[in-house]
Amino acid sequence: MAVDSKTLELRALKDKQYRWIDRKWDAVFWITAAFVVGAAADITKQLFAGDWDFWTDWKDRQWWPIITPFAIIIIGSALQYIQWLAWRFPTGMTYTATAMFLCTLIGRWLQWGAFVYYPMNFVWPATMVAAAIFADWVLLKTKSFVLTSLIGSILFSVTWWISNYIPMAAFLQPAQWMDRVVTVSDIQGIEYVRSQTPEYLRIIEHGSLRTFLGETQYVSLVFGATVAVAGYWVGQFIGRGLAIWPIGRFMKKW
Amino acid sequence: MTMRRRVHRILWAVLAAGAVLVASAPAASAHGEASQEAFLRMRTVSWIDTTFSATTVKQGETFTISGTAKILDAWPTNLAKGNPNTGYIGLIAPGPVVLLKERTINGVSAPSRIDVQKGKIYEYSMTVAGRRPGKWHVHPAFSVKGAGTLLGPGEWITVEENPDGFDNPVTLVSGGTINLENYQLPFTWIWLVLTFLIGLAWMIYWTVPKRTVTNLAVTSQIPLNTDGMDYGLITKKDHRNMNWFALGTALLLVAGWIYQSAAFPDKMPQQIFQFAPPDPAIASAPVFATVGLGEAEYDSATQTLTVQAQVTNTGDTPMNLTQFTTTTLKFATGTTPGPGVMTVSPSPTIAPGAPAQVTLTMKDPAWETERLVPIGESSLLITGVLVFEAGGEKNYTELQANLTPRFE
Amino acid sequence: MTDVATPTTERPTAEEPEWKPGRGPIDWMGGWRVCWIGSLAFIALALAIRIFQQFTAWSIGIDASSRDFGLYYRSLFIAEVVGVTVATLMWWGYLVRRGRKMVLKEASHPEEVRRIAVFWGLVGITSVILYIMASFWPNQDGSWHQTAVRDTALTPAHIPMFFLFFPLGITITVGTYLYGRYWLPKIYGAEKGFPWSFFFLIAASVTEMAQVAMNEWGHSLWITEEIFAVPFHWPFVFYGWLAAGIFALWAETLIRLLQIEGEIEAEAGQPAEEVA
Repeated sequence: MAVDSKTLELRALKDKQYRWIDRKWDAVFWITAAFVVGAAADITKQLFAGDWDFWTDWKDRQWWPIITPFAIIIIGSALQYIQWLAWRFPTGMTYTATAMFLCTLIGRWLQWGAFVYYPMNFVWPATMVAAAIFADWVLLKTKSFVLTSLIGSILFSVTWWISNYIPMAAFLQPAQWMDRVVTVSDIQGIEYVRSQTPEYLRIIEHGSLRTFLGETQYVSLVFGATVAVAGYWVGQFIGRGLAIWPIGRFMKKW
Repeated sequence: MTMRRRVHRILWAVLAAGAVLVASAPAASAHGEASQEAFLRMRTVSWIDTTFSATTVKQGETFTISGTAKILDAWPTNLAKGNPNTGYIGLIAPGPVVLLKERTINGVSAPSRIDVQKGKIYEYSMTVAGRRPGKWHVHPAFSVKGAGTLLGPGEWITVEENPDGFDNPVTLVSGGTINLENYQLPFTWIWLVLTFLIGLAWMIYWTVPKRTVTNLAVTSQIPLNTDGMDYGLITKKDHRNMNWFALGTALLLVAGWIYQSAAFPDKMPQQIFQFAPPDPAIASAPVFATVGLGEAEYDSATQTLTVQAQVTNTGDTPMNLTQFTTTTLKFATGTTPGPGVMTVSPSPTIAPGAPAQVTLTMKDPAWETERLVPIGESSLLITGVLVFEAGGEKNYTELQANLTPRFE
Repeated sequence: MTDVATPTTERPTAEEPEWKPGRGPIDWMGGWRVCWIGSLAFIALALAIRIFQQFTAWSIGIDASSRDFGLYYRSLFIAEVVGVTVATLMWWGYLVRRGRKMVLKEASHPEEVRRIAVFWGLVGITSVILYIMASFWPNQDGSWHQTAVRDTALTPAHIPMFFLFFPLGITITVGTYLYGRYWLPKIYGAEKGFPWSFFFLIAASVTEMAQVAMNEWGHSLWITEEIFAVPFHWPFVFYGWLAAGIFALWAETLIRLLQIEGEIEAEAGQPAEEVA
């Protein structure tokens, strides 16, 4: 098949060597951007879903799966747009997830662990990385942000929950304590004194008259996935409106 | 150089002003409760007979904090909408330096939150274990939903290192004991790090062998929803490799799921307990003491609070006024004025019958160091609980006194 | 190796500096020096305060009414506010004074490349400061306030966060703009107007600072319990999203970098030399 000249030109352009642009520019970009990306993702997670992320006794089956995927997909979605648009890399969500993991880990270990001395098995952070891999994979396959927002967000939410339920499971075991049977995470929550966070502040499953034969978990997962779709588009607005739109645009002189 | 000298001068002036600002009150022994408004601290929860069974323990060794907390009838309307209904009796400590192991409220085991009401009395007992070696100020605390946390009197607790080591055993219903200090920690770390490494590998795949910034020259010329395969931006090999990544991640999740199902077959959701503890015996004790609205004055020169109030003994036998307690302060009736002492004139013994006018005098620097004189706040009110004893019974009677400020 | 470009305008060319070996426009010890030294310096500052807190926070920092608190923490607060104000005004003043002279001279291509590297260094430092203010300290803030009684706005967690690194966010974003305006006039020169990219980024740091006031009000009068995910915290997130403008800075300067390569090619009449 004959290849047109534009294609040949772009192929050559892709491999073109430059006088002043070497790999150091790439290194500086990826390493320095990781700080702001990880921090943006971390602060969004902390202030929208932080309490559920800080403590095992908040990681319930009703609120945690609804609130957290929404909070964490936002910045990843923005980065997906930016990195696909600029480099054609399906890496935005994974980049955000790995940068955020480092930020969260440093924060959790250095502050919650080393400063206030909560045991790390009580305050371990949820991971977003496995979910991010699937979201980026969907973008690579579909090349479409609309499809990624639907299929990718759903896969993202479910994968996120599975990848964090696995480490959480052990803390949901029933244990004997104070004449009651409670979960291991409940015991952590009461024994490891949190002076300014009395137990009644927990926003977790309280029970309701409608739980569809005990299927609270699945209702929350499905709803969480749809809320994540909304979060994905919030992220798209950030990427398109705040990161890309300003390029080369100026206000009138003042 | 004049500019620099001016800057230096300003800097020194600011530093000097700062130093003046900084040299004020005593060494830290509180937990920040001094910043809460005095009149609110006093008219919310009163702490009677707070006792610490020990002040030095080893890691893992327990001691007991017990006493009586009363949510006052005087509870203000601006906190929790004037209607406290959910509470939590717990501890204030600088982090989990101690562990709360057991708690009873009015004789029954109380794992977490309770229904509360204005005017009710809660006899609490908390068994606390030492955890982190050091010297820590620990208080009992009463948190009320919608209001915040009210602190009781604190005590310095020394936790010594335990030469036999320290763990926090918990018994699972399925059998077996786990150490809550580090249970599942290795697996959790491994899981989090492993998933992180997969993500890192994905990033390295794209950013190390391929150039990044120079791609912009090409991507700016092609449509958004194309992967640039014709130009070598993304290749078929990349697609295959990413499929392997996704498959590998999926398999890891399957393996993890099988592991947790097999290792922890019994699981349940986090538990919520909320109940109203039964009333203690004292709640149904015969009421023989009533106190009218008092008048208070504070003399900052002598650090003395004086309260005048009308007390009526409606019982058959004489009653003794034994103490006055408000928030973190306790004053036991005595004859020699001094910290922690309340002198009562004409007498702490009040005969049954006609109302008696009493003057309570409490001379204690704590009024100022604990910032409990509400001058400068939006309510000049002293509130607390007077403890009267007669014929083996006690009454916890609330006292409210309007404070007359002196502006000199 | 230096590359002297033939000026095509009538503006005087800046004197071509001879770069020492290893200190060229895109060498780690050359144009990239600002990036890694500046980033490490602010990380070191945050760690130094963190170490100070490790020894003092739980013994002294928990009671704002105590004398020791005044001596150790209130004084730190004052030092931070005074220090950051003085340093900021001095740096901005320097940038404006020196910049007004720099902008009059046309830079050669290698010099402009070096300046873009320095600019990316300043953007990198901005990124690091945003990390410290939006992740490093907020984690501590949550851990502190869910544990200790919030007694004043000057808690050990707030002091380095709200009163040092939040102001530094303003310092660095405005300073980076000033550098861009005067040292990279072909991208951010005054005659082009004010860039939207910088508007969003600077707005992020300024609104974050303003939100501190709403935060303290909210904690004292609106929701007095210590849940982290409370509504009056959300503006911190929304304002933080404005920092996405930082990506436009990388893009705008990268576009100029590619233009420079094109200009070099055009001048030489042949493709640019291969870079090792």
